[in-house]
Amino acid sequence: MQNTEPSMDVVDSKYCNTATILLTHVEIHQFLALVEQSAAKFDPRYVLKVFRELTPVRKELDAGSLIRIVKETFPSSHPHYGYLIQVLSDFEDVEMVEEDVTEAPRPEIDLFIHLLVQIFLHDKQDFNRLELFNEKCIIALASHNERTLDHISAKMWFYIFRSKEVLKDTVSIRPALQSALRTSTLRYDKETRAVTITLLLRSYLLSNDINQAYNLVEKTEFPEDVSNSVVARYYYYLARIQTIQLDYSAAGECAITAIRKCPQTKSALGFLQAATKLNILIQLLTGEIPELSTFRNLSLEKSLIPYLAVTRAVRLGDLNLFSDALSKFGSALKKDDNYNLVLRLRQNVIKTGIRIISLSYKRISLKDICIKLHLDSELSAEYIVAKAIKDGVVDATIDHKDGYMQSNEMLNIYSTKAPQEEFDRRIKFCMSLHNDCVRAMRYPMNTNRSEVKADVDSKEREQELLQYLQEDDFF
Amino acid sequence: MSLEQLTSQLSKSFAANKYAECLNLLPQIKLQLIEQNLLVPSLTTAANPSDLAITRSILEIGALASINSEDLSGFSSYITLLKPFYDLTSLPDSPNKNKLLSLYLLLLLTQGDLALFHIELERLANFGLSVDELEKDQYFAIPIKFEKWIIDGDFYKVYELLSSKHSFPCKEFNLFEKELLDSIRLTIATNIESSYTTLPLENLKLLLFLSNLDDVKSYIDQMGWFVHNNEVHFDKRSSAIDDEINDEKQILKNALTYAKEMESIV
Repeated sequence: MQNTEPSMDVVDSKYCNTATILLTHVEIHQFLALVEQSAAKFDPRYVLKVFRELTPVRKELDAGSLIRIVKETFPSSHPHYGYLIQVLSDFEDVEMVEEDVTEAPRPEIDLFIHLLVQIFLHDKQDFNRLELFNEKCIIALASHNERTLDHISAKMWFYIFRSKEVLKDTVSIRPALQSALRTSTLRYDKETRAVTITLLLRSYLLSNDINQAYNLVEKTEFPEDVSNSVVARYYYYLARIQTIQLDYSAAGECAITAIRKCPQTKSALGFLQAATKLNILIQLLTGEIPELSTFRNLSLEKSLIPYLAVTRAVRLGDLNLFSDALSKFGSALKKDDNYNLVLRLRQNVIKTGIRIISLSYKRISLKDICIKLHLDSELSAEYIVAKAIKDGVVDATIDHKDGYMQSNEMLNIYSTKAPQEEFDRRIKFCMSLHNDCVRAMRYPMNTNRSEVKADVDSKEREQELLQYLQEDDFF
Repeated sequence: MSLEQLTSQLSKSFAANKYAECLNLLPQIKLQLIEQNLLVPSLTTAANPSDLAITRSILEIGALASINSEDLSGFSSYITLLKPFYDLTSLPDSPNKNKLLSLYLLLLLTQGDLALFHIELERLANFGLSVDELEKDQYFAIPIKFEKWIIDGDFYKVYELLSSKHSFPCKEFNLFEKELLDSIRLTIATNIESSYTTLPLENLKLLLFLSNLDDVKSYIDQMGWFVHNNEVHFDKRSSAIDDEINDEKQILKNALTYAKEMESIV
């Protein structure tokens, strides 16, 4: 194992040209050491630590240090050695110094170096080379089967898909992803399973195959307790699918979960924006008006301007305002792939309009409704109002003979069942919260044992008590 | 018979509007297509593009023949077969594509399957058309408009367009007239039930787009409404007492559940 953890002086004396190369090189070696440790101890936390610390380092990755790492880790006879060197040598000349490495690296190290090369090519924006290299990666991934690889291979699949997406060809990767999903399911590899499911969903959504995506969601079980970022993605895609299928209440829950699970770092801002946009639309579609503070969030404010305009139109129930917003921000909404959803809001605008009218007038002629809502004809207004009454938007009746809508008297809410139901809902929530807490509590091992002991004592006491009682019986 | 003979026979009977004959021929042709591995194009089949184009036109004939003989499930299954062909970029666009897909959208609308309707609408974006452009297409405009009006509740416009028969770009759209009217009539009827207390028969006839009073009467019987003095009455308060009884039971049940939970805590 000396090849993965060289002492500092070897690094120093041999080839250090510049300080940064030295730095990256040392850092990579630290990563490799951590990966190794994680493999030896079966503890994924070390790998996660590497991924966290990789972010600042990845900008400084360079071909030179990668080549050296490869040479220090792989024996030249290793099947992966040739192509690793070759793909890197396009960026920097390979010095002909051979390391005397004889031992093949552990699979974890092997794949981690593949991942580093992927990241390097990705950050160099060289997607054609990455594409070629990914083919090798898929083969390398298939050749190993260790549970300690899960986190690394999940990340590798992400980059494999990423290059396909940049090259706008997400269809051809599907068979590989599907077989990866199958393998990881069989091996209980939760990370890879979660990542491949989300990547497949993304691929389907990119080509608008909502039905396929829905089938995938139906047929697979998304693993629990995997990385938050993957879970957030999954729920976002789920929310999209359900919104398109008009299942707004389920979609709303998923969108909120996605926003909550989203990592609170700068790099996740794009995702947070997309998820917030979707959530606003879902809220509007279910007839709620999102809070103003949602639009005032500093990091999101600018990207949400079109959605603020749409929300205003819905809140005021003004169709003209709505079509103004559509024509003004149409292209921005199309870019977000949300235009179709916004179009569905038309009926909500009408509904709010009717509700406002019914609140302010006790009795109003259909003709006036027609004018106020900018509808085409009185007859249309009659049908639309009838539908609104049926949908429970307003509580009113229509008098056809005289052509007016009459709002019913406002009921005192406390004379209905509503408070009782609300009370019931809250109590149930408290109960389940209490029960969940009890179930989630952890009992330390030794205290538990002492309790068992106390239990034995108390049993004895009970026995004594019983005896007393029995004796008492004689009297 | 060979595939070529069958195909030429098929197009002959289709041109002569003999749809039953077409439907008899199609199963044999499909079998042959399966043998040639042409029925389902995939990423791996390196079939000749012209072969695929012929297969596609055969399937299109199948779809049109089955819809003209009012075999709706047959039509849907042909559309399912056709979809992968329309996704192929190697073939030139078929002139029937927009027509068939918009007919399919209309079918989904008639069946009230709005979720699938929207899924299919999203898929159309794959052909590089946004919703605005689709609305300008003479075929797609029809189902999209209908959906919008139905969701808004603007049923009169649906009726107007359906009753002006000559405005459709092709005759197949008229086949949906009855089904679509029936389905919106049912929606209107339930809407009326909850929004009016009384309604004269004559007005009900107009609102439901029915042509004579007999139809209105049979529809009233079907819905179980009550007619008095040439006015229909919609009674809503019959179930109030039932509700109250259920209500009391519910309160009792809730209280018992709370007691049980409290006990388990204490």
